[in-house]
Formats: sequence, C-alpha cells, structure tokens
Amino acid sequence: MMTAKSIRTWSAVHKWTSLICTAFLLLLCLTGLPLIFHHEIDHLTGNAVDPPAMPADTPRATLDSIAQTGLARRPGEVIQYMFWDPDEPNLVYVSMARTVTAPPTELKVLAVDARTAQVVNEPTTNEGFMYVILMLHVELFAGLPGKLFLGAMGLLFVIAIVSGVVLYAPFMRKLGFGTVRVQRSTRLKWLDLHNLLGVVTIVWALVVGFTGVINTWADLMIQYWRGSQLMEMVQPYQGKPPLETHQLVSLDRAIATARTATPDMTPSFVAFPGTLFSSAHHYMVAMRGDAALTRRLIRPVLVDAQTAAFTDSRAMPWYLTALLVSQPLHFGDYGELPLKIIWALLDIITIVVLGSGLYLWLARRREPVEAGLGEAVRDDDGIARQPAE
Amino acid sequence: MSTTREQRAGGGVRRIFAAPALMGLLSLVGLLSALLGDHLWDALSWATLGITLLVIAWYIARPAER
Repeated sequence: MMTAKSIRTWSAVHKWTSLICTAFLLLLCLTGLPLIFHHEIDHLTGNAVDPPAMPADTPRATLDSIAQTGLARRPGEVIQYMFWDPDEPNLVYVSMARTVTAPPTELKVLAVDARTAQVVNEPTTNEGFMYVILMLHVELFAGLPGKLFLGAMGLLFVIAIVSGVVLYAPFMRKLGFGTVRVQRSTRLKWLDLHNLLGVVTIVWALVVGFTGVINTWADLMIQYWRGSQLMEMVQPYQGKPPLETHQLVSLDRAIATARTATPDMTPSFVAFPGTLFSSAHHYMVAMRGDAALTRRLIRPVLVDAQTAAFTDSRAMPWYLTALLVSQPLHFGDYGELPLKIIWALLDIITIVVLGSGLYLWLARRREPVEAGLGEAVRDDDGIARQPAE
Repeated sequence: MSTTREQRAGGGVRRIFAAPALMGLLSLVGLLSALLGDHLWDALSWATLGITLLVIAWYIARPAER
C-alpha cells in the first residue's frame, strides 16, 4: 500500500486541484445540464421548426436558389457557410454575416426548406437564455482567453480525478465497495458518498472532462490547420486577387465536383471563399461519411470558386479528427434521448461529487486529510490503526 | 446482502479496485458503443451506463451500515 508520505502528497494534489477548479466545474456542470437538451429545448421554445411534410419524392431546390433566398432575406450580408443536419435532410442552414471574415459570434442562421427554398425559421443564435448559458459554458464571455482558462480548469479537474482515484485505495482499505456509513456522522456519510459517486463515474467524468478540454483548443487547431494543410492545398493560388461575389461559380456545380471527387460521401457543410475554413479562391466542401462514426468526420474538398474545377482533397489531420470525435463524447448527443438523460444524471452526480468535496474540505479544514484517513480506518469496527506500509 | 463488512473487506489493491474497474469498463463500453454504431449499439450504451447508475442507486438505497 501507500506510505504516509505519498498519501500526504496525493492529498495535497487532490485538495488544491479541486479547490481551484471546483467553482468553475460547478458552473460548467450547471450550464452543461440544459445544453445537453438544447435540441429539445429549441424545439419546445420554437427556436427550431420542423419543415412541412411533403411527399418523399418532392424535387429538391438548387443550392443556388437557396443561396438567393438567404441573400434576399438578409440584404447587404454575405453567406459564410451552408450546412446540413444529417437527422433533418429537408433543411439547409445558411450562415450569414456582414462580411466573410466576421467572427462566428456575429453569424446569423437561416433554416431553409431544401425542397421549396423557402425560409422555415430564423433561429436566434446570439441572444436569449440558451445563448447566455452557452457562452458561460464555453468561454465565460471572454473569447479565446476564456476558453483556454476553462480548458485549464478542465485539466485541473482531470488531475483531481486521478488523485482522487489514488486516494480511494487508502480510504477503502477496511471498507467494502459502496459502503455508506449513514449513522456515524454527517461528515462520514458524505465522505462515503463522495467516494462512491466519484469512483463509479470516474471514466465518464474523465472522458467528458478531457474532451471538453480538447474542445477549448478548437480555435487554435483550426488556425493551425489554416496555416499548414489548407495553405499547402491552395498553394497554386497564392498571390491571386480575391474573388468578387459576382465571379463565384454556381454552388451546385461546386458541390457536384466535390461529390465526384468523393463518391461515397455526403456534404456536411460548405465554407464560402474567404471564410475561416476556406481560401479566398475556393469553396471548401466538407464531405462526411454515412456510418455512426464517419457521419461525424469530414474530408475537405477544395473546389475552385471561379471554375468549379477540383483543386485538392486530403484526409483531415489527426488533431481535427480528434476534435470531431471528442465533440459527441463531450455533448452526449450521439445515442438518442436515453443517452442524453443518462448524461444529465451523470452530470448531476458530478455536481454532488463536487459539492460534497467542497463540504468535506469546509467541515474539516482545520485537520489534515490524513486525520480523516485515520478515522476511516479507526472507525472500522475497532480494528486498530495500521501503520502505513 | 448476507456477508458482513469484514468478509467483504480485507485484501489489497486488487480487492479495492475490482468493482471500480468493472464500473469503469462498463462506462467505457457505453461511451464507445453508441459512437461506433446505431440502434443496438445505442441500446448497449444505455444498458452499460445505466447499470453504473443503478449500482449507485442500490448502495445509496441500502446503506451497508446498521
């Protein structure tokens, strides 16, 4: 078993990493709870609207006409992205802003019927309750520094979990798994609950915690990709003047080029020329697969935005693939409603673990944690305290 | 449960971490199965992660203490 010295060290690690991150983790767990159900909440509040029912063989509108719908609806703005929801094939989403380089926070989204090219819904994306919740969860209204700060808190959370697992052993030396001593003292009851709830949810908390950390690095990863793989792919276009809007080729032709280049894949989104995910001379058509996992992964296809000719396509670098895989693992949105409910319950359990940890520190802060360890051993049916081995 | 705490207690790291390791394995299967497949794989995910929640509920509902 552990020596008294190593227990002291791990206790200190557990105490300080937890103390620093607990307030922020409580915020993340509380704001994360409604975010798990954002899809359902959007439907309930009317922020998401289903397209009208039509026969399955209703012909589809051209993407150019859908683009026209967007441009007519929001005069003076430009389209940055068009994207699809694999679960709602009859909608096309059009993201617009004043310029192609406007930051994502300024994007307005239109949900357009893929068959009639009529606007179905104009969801609010940067106001209201869910927006405030999202911003608190993602960046504390502090942009990239806010994201990276929360990422650092997430890393402390991961260290707190690992140190908690190490300390679980000395605490449980004389106790059976799941023992909850309810009648000795409030503190002992919460110590046992903290250990039980914490140890059963370790893997979930580690995965959701660390994938959350990876998500905080998304902006940096995308910037790195722009400066490396994207730049290499569009090398021949270096120095050419950026395209004017009237020079852009038909979007339908560009998509057709991408489909030909990746015959087994489906468009996930299109980044218009000049946006974050493309060059000044290309449509970047992000193609996705069709299986449970590959539906979430993309392969960028760069199509010349003036001629619709194929320029290049490469597999996503590993770090962007890791980012795309880490998103569902963080959001819990990949196993229908039952998984979301499980996610919410595990989130609530994590809140209890954080809260009980804080309580245990407040209730005992004048005594070192080893005293608590001693008590855990001493308390156990009069078995004499064992010297640490 | 008829076993006393002394019978269940005792032993080393292996005893202490046997149940947590099983819970961790169930969680891992649950986290990955819904990611790698749909339908049955989703259901496997609900079942395995659901078991970990039931285990917690069981020990809270039936504290081992007199």
